Amino acid sequence: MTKMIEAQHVSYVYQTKYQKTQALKDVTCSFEAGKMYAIMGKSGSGKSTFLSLLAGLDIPEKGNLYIEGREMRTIDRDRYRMEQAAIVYQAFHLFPLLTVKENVMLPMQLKHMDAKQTKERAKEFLAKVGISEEMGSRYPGMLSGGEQQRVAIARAMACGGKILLADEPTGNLDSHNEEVIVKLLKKMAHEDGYAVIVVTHNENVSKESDVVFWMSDGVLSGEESR
Amino acid sequence: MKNSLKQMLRTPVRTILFLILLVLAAFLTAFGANLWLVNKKSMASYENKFMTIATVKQKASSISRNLVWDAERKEYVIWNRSEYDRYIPVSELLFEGADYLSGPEKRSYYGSYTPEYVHPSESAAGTNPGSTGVIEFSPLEDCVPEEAVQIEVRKVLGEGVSFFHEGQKLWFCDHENPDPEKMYKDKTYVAYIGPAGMSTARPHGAVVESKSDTGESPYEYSGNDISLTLYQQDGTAVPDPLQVEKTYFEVSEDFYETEIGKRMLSVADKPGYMRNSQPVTGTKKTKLILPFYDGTARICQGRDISEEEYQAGEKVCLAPLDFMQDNQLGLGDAITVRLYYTNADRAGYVNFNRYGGGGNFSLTGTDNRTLEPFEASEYTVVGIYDVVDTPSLANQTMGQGELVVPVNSIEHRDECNIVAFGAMRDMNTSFEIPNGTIDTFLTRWNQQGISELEFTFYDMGYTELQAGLRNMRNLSLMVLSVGVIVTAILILFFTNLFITKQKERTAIERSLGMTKKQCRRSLLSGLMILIILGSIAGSISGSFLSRNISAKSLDRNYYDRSYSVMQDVTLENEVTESYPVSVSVLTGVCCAALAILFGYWISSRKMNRSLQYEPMKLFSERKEG
Repeated sequence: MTKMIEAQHVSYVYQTKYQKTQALKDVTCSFEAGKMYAIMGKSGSGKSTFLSLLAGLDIPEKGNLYIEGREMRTIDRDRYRMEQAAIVYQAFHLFPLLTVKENVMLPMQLKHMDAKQTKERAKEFLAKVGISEEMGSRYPGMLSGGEQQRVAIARAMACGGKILLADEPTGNLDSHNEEVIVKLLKKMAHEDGYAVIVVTHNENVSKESDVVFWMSDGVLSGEESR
Repeated sequence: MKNSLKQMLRTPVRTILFLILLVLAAFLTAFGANLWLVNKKSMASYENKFMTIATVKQKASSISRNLVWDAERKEYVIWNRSEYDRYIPVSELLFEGADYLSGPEKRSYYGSYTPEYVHPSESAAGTNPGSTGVIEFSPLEDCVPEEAVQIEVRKVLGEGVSFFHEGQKLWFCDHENPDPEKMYKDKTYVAYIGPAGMSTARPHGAVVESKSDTGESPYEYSGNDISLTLYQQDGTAVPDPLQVEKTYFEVSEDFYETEIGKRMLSVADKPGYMRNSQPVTGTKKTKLILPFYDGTARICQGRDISEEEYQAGEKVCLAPLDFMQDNQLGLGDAITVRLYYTNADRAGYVNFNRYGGGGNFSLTGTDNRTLEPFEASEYTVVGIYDVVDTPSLANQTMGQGELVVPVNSIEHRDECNIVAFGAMRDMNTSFEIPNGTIDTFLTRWNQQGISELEFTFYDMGYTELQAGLRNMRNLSLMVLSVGVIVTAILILFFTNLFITKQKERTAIERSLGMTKKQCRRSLLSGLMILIILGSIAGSISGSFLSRNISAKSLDRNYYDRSYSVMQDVTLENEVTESYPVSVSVLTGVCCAALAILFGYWISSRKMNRSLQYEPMKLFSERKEG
């Protein structure tokens, strides 16, 4: 399997005006395409910070992150998010004033794709996550939590990359929707070749993952392959 | 940008509310700014067009009651006369804090003897029954002139009196003398006669019909005083070496060899001198003379005397149109001025009027000879003025043939041959102060503790106008301030709604790979379109309304009401001014530009702050919170 992301001795410090917090310490791991990963740990263990670094929203203080062999510091990180990595959040974070379809179209519009093609692809992605065309013309606020998260996943697909970073994607969902979302993520990894990295507290999610990393106080304390 | 606008239009209430409020705020700002600027321009323009002067009058210290015999009533009558403890010198007006632009000055007028010119008053002089003159006469009967008696003119002395002639029969009475001397029909007497002014000027004690066509006068004449009227510079009277107590004298063989006889001969010359004289007024500024200030006298050809010419005392003058025409003179011509007396009591028009030159002062010196000129110069005519035949604000006008010259051009001003001296009067004392400072002047003057002076201010309505303009300025400043504050608050509030409260949106955009620049454009474009639209629409409508209001409120008639001494201000006295209203488009453009720049600055700052939040941190803070 291809190594999509590799972290080598990654450390990160939060620096506020008054104090420094060591959020990550010497984290080394790698993520391959076609697998679903779960990063588990208590609140404040550094898992979301790690995900943020994987998304290129910041860079490690020490150590290196490689994206398909290229060091994160050397690449255009905005472009990386636009073309390679997509993020799904616990609270969905859809644009409330754009329709479902427009939300999914947006990443493609940012890449200046043809308008007609954008519409067609958006329809496809929505269909893939089980959102009907009729629902596509609604505003996100009119959908259930599970549906909104599916839209968020469809938007992530629309980015066109093969890395999906999900931050507690099932945190706001009931068990049924949780199951639907986990299946969807798993399918994306196994069938579509995504490297799906999920930060979660949820044991059910970790059970469905191929690899589970345990984090505690910013340190990668364990790894379990299933 | 498309998505940005789309999202903005999907919150129509908020967007429209912001747009409407911003239009209103920009409207207030542009409206206030335009009004303020127009007001400022108007005030500056009025400063140049208006002028505030004051005339000064010394109040009498007391009134004396003089008993004068009235031959008609056969009793003493009381004549009131103003008395002054002292004549306040004009220097006492130069107190600390007095902010004069011109003056103060107490103007004398000077008699200029120029027989080489035709004088406007010449034709009128001495032709009417009200003339004065020195005549020798005899009564038709032996009589005591305690009431009107008939006399026959034997001889007219001196020149310049064409009314009296030999053989003319007149009514004569020693009107103010309770015990006149007897006159004999075979004797000749001499007197400086004039109409008896105490009663109705008609002969009393006799029924007389007017026979002016035959040269007979319906007037009663009496002898005038021939005492000297000479003063020193401080107003002290020069003592008359002759104690003249009578008004008519018997003409003996050597009468004209006596001092009284010589005095009489000199007095006889006065009408001729007055007829060939013209008044010359020295001033520091033309408009300190009330007829010029209020437009009764206007320069119709040439120009006014310049400030520099006034300062330097150049030999230039303003001359009246009729005098110039009568003498076929024009602009640039030189006029000979030969000053031989100084009148420090009245203005020229009092003694040089349409009835000719006159005045109750003597032109005789202590040597019993007519006064000699003390200064002679050539004055170049730079301006010709005409006098409108309407009463001025204080019923003042210009004297016949009166020349106006820089006071500094008269070397011996107020020094020589002072034939009349008096207190400061409305007609001869004035000064100019800055517009709108009347109250300040009076407050400071009152601190001097001099209560004998009375001021009459003329500002052509500036005070009233200024109050209106001040109200307008305050109002415009208030509107401008409200506009600016409301615009600022609106922009701050709505940028908070559109940007700060949209941190999440920015975070999502960032996580979707949008660069900071793209995020900024995405959020700012819609907001800036609203700010631009609102600012421009508001500024245009504000400018438009202020233009209309300015046009209506500033195009008015103004005239002196507050400080006019006249109750009935006639149409001719109105000052009609139509001021160009110049509401600048630039003001509206500047207001809009400032609002847009402020909006952009605030939005950018807020946007930068929003972009400082990393999406993951923001979302994880929210999640964990």
